[in-house]
Amino acid sequence: MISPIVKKTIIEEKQLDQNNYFQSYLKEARGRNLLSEAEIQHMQVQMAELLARQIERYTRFESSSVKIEVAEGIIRSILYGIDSYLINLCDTDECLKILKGTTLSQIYQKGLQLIKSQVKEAEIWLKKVQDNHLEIDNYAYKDTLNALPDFFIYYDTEFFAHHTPASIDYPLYLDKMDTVGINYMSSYLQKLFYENGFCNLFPKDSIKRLLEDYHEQHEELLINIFQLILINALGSVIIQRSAKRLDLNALDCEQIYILLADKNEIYLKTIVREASDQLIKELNITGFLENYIKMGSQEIAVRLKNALENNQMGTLFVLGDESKTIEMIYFEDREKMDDALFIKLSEEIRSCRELSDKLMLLKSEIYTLEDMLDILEADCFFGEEYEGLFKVLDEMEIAMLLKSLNITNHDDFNKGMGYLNWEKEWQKRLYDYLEQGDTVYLEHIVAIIEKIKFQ
Amino acid sequence: MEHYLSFLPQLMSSQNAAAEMMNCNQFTQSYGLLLTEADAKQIIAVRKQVLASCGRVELGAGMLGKLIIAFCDSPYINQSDYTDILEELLEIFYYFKNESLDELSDDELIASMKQYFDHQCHGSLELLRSRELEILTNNIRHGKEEYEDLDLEEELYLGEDEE
Repeated sequence: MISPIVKKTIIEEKQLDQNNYFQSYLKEARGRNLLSEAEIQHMQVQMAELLARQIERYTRFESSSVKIEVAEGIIRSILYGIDSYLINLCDTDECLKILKGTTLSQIYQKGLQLIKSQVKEAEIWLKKVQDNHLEIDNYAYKDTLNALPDFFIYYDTEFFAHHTPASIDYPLYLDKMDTVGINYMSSYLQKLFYENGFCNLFPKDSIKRLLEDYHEQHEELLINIFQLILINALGSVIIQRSAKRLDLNALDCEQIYILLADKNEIYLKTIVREASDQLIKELNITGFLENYIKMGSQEIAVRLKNALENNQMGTLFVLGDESKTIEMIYFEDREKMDDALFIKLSEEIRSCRELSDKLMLLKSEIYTLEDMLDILEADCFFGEEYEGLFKVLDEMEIAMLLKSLNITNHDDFNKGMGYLNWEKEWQKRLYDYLEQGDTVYLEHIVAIIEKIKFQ
Repeated sequence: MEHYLSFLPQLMSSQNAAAEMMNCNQFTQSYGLLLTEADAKQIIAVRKQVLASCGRVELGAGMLGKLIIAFCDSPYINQSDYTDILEELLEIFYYFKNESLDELSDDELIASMKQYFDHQCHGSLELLRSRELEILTNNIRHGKEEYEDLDLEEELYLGEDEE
């Protein structure tokens, strides 16, 4: 594979401190005589003038002095703005041209504009995160979600661009925390969006079970949900199961141990890398998320090595607790809706032009199984709309529908439509939806059906 | 602390400050007050020390000119103690900028200092520092809306004296 051609610059990017770009650049340039002492001093004078002007603006021209901490903060903010502009240039050679030919004030103003654009872009990522957030009971996750908008209210691009005014507790899977301000927030939001997207590929009930198996007080813990899911999914792939299976038990871990216990670190890194590739392929993951998963695989391999060496697989994988007795679900339906109300509701649903409106009415007005079955048979939904309907029902609701059709286990379902002799459109559509869908999803539903007992 | 400010040259621009003080002579001389260049240099040196001890930074000429113009018509200042009083006023000014949490602008603080110095304190810098300005800035720190209302505290103080 041919490596891309990279232009050789006088100062290489890796020699510069990304968090103190301008200052480290001056140091390197001075060391290589690319900038003279006079040019450096001239820049220092410009910096002092810029600082004076910013202090005047900060105090609204009402004070000629400020506390040293405030002055330091303002200058750090100025440097953040200058860094933003310089880092955004093509290469370090261009940096030199700009520094020789442009005033610091102009560079700072351009940097400030860049920061403001970054804030706008980050607001879009915030909206994406709010739209694809996980519905889980983890306090750190929920509190962080609630706190994220604060950043955009309190972030001061002009005087405190280097601050990150938001209470961010939820830990990401990969987060070096080596940046500040809008740079950090942009990165955090983007990663959180993709982590959420990955987690949303798995059934909610599976995630809930995984968290409960992890710790009974998982709500209170500072844990990264993405990592828990990823590691168990990789475990499933290693023992040649679907990546969507998050349930690993002691036997499964024993299997992994037997497979890998005597292998060296290089081999384990290969195994984890291949398992990651397999998972990525199975779940159709591309782009940022693909790279994100791959970036963490080395660290997972090291943890796997430690777990194998100590024969403590539970320190890496979340094991299901098979000692828990099977819970039975005793279901007693509530009183069905009054006939007049039902007729009114069914007419209202039928009159909706958009499926989303139909579903909103259904979710907000239907509370009993009997009413749900009646609505399904009241010609309120047609054709492809059924798929949309089944998608918004959770696993319990789907299980209830199947149970009402006397499906009690996998064999009943597998006998097929010919045997089941379901005639109603919703029944046929439900069968197709489940038969063509994810097998793991169907397995979960059947597992629920087996626990249900109608009273 | 010095990291980000240490590479900046001449933050306090002594030349500008000295020039501004000398320019004030044109106005203050009608009140019998004049500063020499040596006086100006000394005041600037004191300003530098006070700013450092108060943990503050001032760029450019600063507020010296405003302070001089504001106090030049005080009945309690004459040529013999002019420089000493200005140096003490400087110290009081920066100290109480901190004590007021920078809620008072330069003009407001200077105006208050002048008012209290000439009237309530009858020319006593000690009273200005330990009484009026303490109460004023205490009111600000406690979020009192009518923070310039020092009357009640003054009555209480005088009451204690009478006892």
